[in-house]
Amino acid sequence: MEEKERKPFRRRLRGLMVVVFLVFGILVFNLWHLQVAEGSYYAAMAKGNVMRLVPLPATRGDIVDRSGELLATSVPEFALTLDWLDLQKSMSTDWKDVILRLAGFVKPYWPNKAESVQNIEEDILVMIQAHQWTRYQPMTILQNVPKTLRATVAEHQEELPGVSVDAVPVRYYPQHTLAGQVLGYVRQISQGEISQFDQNPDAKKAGFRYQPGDMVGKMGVEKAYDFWLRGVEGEEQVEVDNNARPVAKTVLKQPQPGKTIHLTLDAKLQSVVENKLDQIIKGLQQQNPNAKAGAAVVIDVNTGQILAMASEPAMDPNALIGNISVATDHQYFQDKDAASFNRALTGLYAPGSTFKMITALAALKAGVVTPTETINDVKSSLGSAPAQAQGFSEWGGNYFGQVDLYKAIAMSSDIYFQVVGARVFKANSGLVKQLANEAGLGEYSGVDLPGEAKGIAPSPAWKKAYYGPYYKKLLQEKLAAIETKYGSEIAKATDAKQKAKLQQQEALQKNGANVWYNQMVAQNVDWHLYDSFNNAIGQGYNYYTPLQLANYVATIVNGGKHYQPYIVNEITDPVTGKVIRQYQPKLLNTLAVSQTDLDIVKKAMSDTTSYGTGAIFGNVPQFSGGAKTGTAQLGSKNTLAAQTYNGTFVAFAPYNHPQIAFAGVVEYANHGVDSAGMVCKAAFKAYFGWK
Amino acid sequence: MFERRIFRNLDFLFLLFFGLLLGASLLILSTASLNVDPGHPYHYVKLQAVWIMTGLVLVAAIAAFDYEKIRRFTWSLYGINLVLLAAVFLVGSSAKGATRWIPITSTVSIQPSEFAKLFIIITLADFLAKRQGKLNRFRDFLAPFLFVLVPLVLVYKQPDLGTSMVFVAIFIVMMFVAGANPWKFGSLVLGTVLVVSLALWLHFAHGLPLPLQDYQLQRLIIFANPSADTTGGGYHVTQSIWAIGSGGLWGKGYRQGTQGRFNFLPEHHTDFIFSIVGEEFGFIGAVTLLFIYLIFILRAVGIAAKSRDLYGMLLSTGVVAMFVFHILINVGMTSGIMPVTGIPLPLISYGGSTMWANMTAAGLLLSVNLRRQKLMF
Repeated sequence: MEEKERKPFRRRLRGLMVVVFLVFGILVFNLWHLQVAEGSYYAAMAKGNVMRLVPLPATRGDIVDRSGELLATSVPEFALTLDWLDLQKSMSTDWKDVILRLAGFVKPYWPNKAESVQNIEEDILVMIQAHQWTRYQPMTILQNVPKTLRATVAEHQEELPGVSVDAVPVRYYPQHTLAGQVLGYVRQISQGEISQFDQNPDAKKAGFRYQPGDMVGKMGVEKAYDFWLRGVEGEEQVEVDNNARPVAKTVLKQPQPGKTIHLTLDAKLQSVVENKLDQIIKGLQQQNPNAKAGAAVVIDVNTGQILAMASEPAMDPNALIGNISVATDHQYFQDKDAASFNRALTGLYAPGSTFKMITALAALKAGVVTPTETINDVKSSLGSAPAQAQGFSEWGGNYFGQVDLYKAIAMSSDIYFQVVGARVFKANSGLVKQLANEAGLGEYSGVDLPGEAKGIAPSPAWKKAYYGPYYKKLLQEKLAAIETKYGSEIAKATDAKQKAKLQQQEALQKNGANVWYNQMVAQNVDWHLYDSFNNAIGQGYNYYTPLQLANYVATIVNGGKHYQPYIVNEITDPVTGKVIRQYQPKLLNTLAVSQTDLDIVKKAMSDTTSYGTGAIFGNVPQFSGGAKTGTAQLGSKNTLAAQTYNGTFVAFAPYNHPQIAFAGVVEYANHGVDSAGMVCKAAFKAYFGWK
Repeated sequence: MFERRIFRNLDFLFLLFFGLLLGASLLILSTASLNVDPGHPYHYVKLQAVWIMTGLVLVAAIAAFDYEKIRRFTWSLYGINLVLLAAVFLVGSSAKGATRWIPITSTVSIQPSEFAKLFIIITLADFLAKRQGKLNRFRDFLAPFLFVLVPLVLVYKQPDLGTSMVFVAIFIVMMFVAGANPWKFGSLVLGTVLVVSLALWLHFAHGLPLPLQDYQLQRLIIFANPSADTTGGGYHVTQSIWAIGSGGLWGKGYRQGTQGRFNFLPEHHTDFIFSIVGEEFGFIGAVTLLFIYLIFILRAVGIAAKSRDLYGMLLSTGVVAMFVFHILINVGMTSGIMPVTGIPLPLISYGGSTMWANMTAAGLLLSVNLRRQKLMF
């Protein structure tokens, strides 16, 4: 080609070079944009691809009784696991050979005994398949690995790269049903519970937040002290590839085990109380199949420490771990007598005659009776015929003669307490409620267990506040209905005469509604003599928990000091043994009653055990103390339920410088003394070591 | 026939950058293919080295051969090309929805479309050189167009949209260099682009039927918005962009990238090898590689400019067009500004067919270079 001829081609090639520069310019500019301008954003995205944080579980802390006896612990459950990282690292053998070998070793322990080694190998491969997006975590092949298989795996470790026996902490309650409802149980947190658990003051202070999937205490001490028991999860950083296979692991934070919770509970006493309660109820079932439930509490009168707290039917928290059957669900949660229900804490019972000490104290304080004043034990003592019609006869058709305060409590005279109660309610309508509340009845006790019931300590003001609004609302609805009805009719009315007639009718109907309302208020909202009678003897509106009843007796016999009951004594570190938190008795208030009056009632309770209805310690010569029996009608007068009674029993010992108080309820027992009373006797004998 | 004096013509800078690219290929593959065959980290590096060694023999042979002599076989080569492309449909093996391979043995197979580009360049160069000065009218464009269209349709039917687009790029550049009237040819190209764009728009907006496979349309949609589907079809592009972007200015370091090493990035030793360059060697490394390419291309344009005759010039510019278009599509695809098509990065990506085809192209450039216009003294 000649130079002249070349010229146009040169021009075209220069054009081509411009295009080349343009192409490279665009590519470089785009790379600059991605790598330099936006580089840190993409670096974060790429990092998110490979980094996984895997929590390392912390061992849940132990729960022990006051002398260190183990009640709840975490035991290793051995699981056969497969770790991808280690399995893949074994370059020498094909990993599928490892699986085949493993299948051979586990065959005798495989859940399905009929499966061949090949089938088991397939099962494991299917598990691996299902696990593929969480491969950075070890996967469990077999749970509850027995010792023999553990030995086999250890022996053949070299042929089984990636296979190991891992100890997974599992909650275990070695004493099974002992204090089951007090301890509670552990399961996965539900969505609704997360915010509730986050409210825990200790968790809040530590800035801890619960996550979906966390295992938490669902009731009892496990729930109340979950934050301390759970420990602190560790954290492991795992780098993964696109198939979620781990490629490197680093432990960022070691897990810290949970703290040890020391209860005020005395395991031996608890066991005695539970066994006796169970025995009594089983005996009652012979006659009445409905008799299935009961509760008892033993409390230290000088501190408020709960020494025993039993509730029947009993609950074994071990049964509530993992998957539960329909039968278990019914037994523990659905049945009328569900076993997970802690009746000592959440069960509300009419106290029956065990309430009479409050009536006595109120009467003494109000000055409406002296300890020596006697009342003839006949129904006519209640007053006029109409007054008598509102009251009860003496229980069991008894006649106790001339009854003073001591004898009234000892023999549990209903006539005496109706008479005295009527006087008290007349003199100071709020006094019975005030003293009941001051002794912890009908108030939240503040015990460190979740789910306690409040109960009701009634008074005329309470009755009005409780039922008044209900009838008020009904009246307003009636009046509103009348207005709507006549409002439209009056608007439609054409002549003035018809209008006036309708207005008159409306006024008449409104008046009728008001009359009805006043009638209802007089019957159901106002306080009557029968209310005084009823409530003075522990029936009527009175409803308390066994825990409240035990603490109320404690308050009377310790000189009027109302302590807050508590179940956890101290929290210690399981590694160092150091006490992290020591709980002290907490005095809530004192009973506004003189020591003289308290001594009178205490003496009367002692008379109950020496010659009265609670004289059951005859064959226990070392006994000193006092008690009060109760028989609480289940329904109101003239109903079928009125034929059935719960047995209640409260007591304390010893007489001088009392140490412990007892309260117990046995459903359908009819009498307290031979049901809950027997539980009390067993408890006192065990506590004091009496023969 | 091989005279000593022609060595004086040799463009050493071209040869040097050619060698740099081959060396870069082995270096990059030694990290990019590390995990492709677990347990054999150097498997692909070794194979690639074999392709390069044998390819170098090919380069030397072609360089020694006077390219003029190929002109005699234009129509035979054209015929062989069509036969090979047609053979794919008869005995070809499929991979990922396309039939592109002819099996030779159980483990070796060739990809005729890689060589078809060369056949097009060689035969079209002769076809156009004969029409020098006769490409001024619209109807003059028809014959060269049909000449390219027949093999293009065969490739397109495999289906291989990427390679058929390479044919179009080669055709446009060679026509332009061969002296096609720039205004008429330019307006024709521009007009076609407009018509195709309009057709695509009508397809997406109003459902106009198009002779495109679903997956090809899908790729175009993903190209327009890769983040719309990061786990499905958009996965490749998204992971590739993350890989390149995360490399930053200096890169994560040799064998330190996570996107490729942990397999988030698919095809990272073949089509997406540039993402590894971006991730592990950063902006500096990526631009360095592009710089080597640029010098290599500019020297190739220089070879074209100094070629003995128009045929040599057209051969060279065809090869340049092929390389530049490959680089544009491949680097653009990995960094998200071009749609995903199975176009490898020339002289870098792993693959025997592509390596041999591209080395043959380089050999042709050397052949033209050695027989360049004698300088006037």
